[in-house]
Amino acid sequence: MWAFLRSVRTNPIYLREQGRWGEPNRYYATMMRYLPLVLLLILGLSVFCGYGQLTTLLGLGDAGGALFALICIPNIIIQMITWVGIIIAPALTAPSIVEELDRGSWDILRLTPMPTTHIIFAKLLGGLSRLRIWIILFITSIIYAAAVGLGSIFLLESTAGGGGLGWGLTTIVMTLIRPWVEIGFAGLAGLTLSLWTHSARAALIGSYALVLVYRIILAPVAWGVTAALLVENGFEAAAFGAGTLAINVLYLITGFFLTLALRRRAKALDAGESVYE
Amino acid sequence: MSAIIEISDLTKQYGTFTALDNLNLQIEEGAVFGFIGPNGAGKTTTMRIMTTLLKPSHGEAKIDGYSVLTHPNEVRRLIGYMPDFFGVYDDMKVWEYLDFFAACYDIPESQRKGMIGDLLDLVDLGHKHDEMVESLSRGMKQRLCLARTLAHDPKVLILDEPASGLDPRARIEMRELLRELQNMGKTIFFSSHILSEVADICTNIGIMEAGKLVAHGDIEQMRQQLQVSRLIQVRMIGDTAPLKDILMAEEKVREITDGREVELTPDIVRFDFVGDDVELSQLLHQLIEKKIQLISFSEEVGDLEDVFMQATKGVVS
Repeated sequence: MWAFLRSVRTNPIYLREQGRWGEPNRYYATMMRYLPLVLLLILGLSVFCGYGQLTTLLGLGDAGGALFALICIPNIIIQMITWVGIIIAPALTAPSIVEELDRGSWDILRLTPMPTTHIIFAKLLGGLSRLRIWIILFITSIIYAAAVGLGSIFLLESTAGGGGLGWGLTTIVMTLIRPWVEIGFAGLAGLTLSLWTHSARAALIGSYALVLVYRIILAPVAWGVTAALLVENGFEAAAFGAGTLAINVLYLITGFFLTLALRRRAKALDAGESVYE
Repeated sequence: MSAIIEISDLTKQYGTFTALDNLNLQIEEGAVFGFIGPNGAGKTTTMRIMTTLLKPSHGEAKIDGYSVLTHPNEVRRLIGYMPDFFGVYDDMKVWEYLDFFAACYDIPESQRKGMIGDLLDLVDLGHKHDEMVESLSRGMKQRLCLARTLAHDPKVLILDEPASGLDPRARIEMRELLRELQNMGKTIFFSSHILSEVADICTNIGIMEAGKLVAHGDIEQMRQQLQVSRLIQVRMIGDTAPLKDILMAEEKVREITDGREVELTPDIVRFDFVGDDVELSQLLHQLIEKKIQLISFSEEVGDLEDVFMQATKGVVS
């Protein structure tokens, strides 16, 4: 798998998903036509998700007020970019294999010397790489993670009497990776569900339902429960970092099971199971 | 010549349903093998196993000595497969389609441009180089798909119904193309429903029915295997009654028909003969000895349809 990842940028399936040969994804093309509407929707969702953090920070008093500009503005941007990612990612990945199966070209791809799992992961990564958000996401994430992490270190050292460095670094890392984890999760959900439902449309609806449930219900619950436990045990200032850690763990565990399901499907396809049988 | 395709005891079951039942077959290098049979006979299942796309329940297939079970990657490099559902990418240009698959087979970019031109010329699509695939006719798409199977220069071509759905002109073009590929030394294994086409181009045929290979070989061998009777037509001077008497006394002669019964002239007699060439020659000698005034004595050559009808019983699995 490592060798595959190192050479993925020259993999023809990866390059095809990026649009080097034709336009492989009509869902993506359609979505790009409605981009202004998508962005409006994303703005609304981002403000909705950022609102909770705004009130939390302001509730911390002067320190929270001082961090507002460094944290809230990058956070709103990250929220927006993440929403762009999780809305577009399933549209990039869900049709990628199902359309090959429908068209009858999947068998032809399988006869190339590439293993089926490589074809599937090249499609996943190639699809996700079409999201032109990675650089801006990386820069904003660094500003945001540094501000949140350094704020946590400062708060923990000054109010909890130590342990700030460890939690601060945890906060930085977890905050940095969270949008990537969420977008990757959305893309993976789209691809996995498409292989089980044999329908790009059903996979899109399913993956949107899944990411909305995780983002709007399960992630805040995981954050809230972790933070409440820490507050109860006197670690108020560590709540933010640990909450973000809990969210990432939640996504990674589900992502792990989605990957297992994807591999299982890949093996079944490799054994000659086909929608045409 | 050595066998490039070896199939032994190949069986495929889906639960209790047997799609392919103990198939044994050997095909020599350079042969054009026509695989015929009704729908559901097991032709596509056989081809999917040969191409490593499907795992058999029992038995194995080898291509150029490599087992599809233990050396699938080697087999994939040796074969070019065109499914009946030929799967082209409508969103690409014609040259992009070939370029993409050539890249998938690790052909360096520097070699691809010239190779694409050659392949398009071979399938007579050179003038469509920059056209979108979706603008091509069905026959052109079929030929493009065939060009794709040749991108990595395989030794064996496995083509599932290559002429299916094509108009008469496109069928003729496809047949000519297959002949050209045969001249290039490719071994071609293809399935078809169109018996006349198979007869025109194949060096060997196999007839499948209900998952079983009911006959295989060249058409002449198969007629012998199946003991298909030979239709002999005799024309003579004078009354045909003495001729009929001699024929009726012959053990190998069946069903004598007078020319008038089959809208021919009264001086003609037809009969079915189940013997071999030596016995037929002896019969001719006997007629001459008995002073039958023969004008002609000839065999009406049976076609592939006769062999097919004789071999199959109309059973569909």
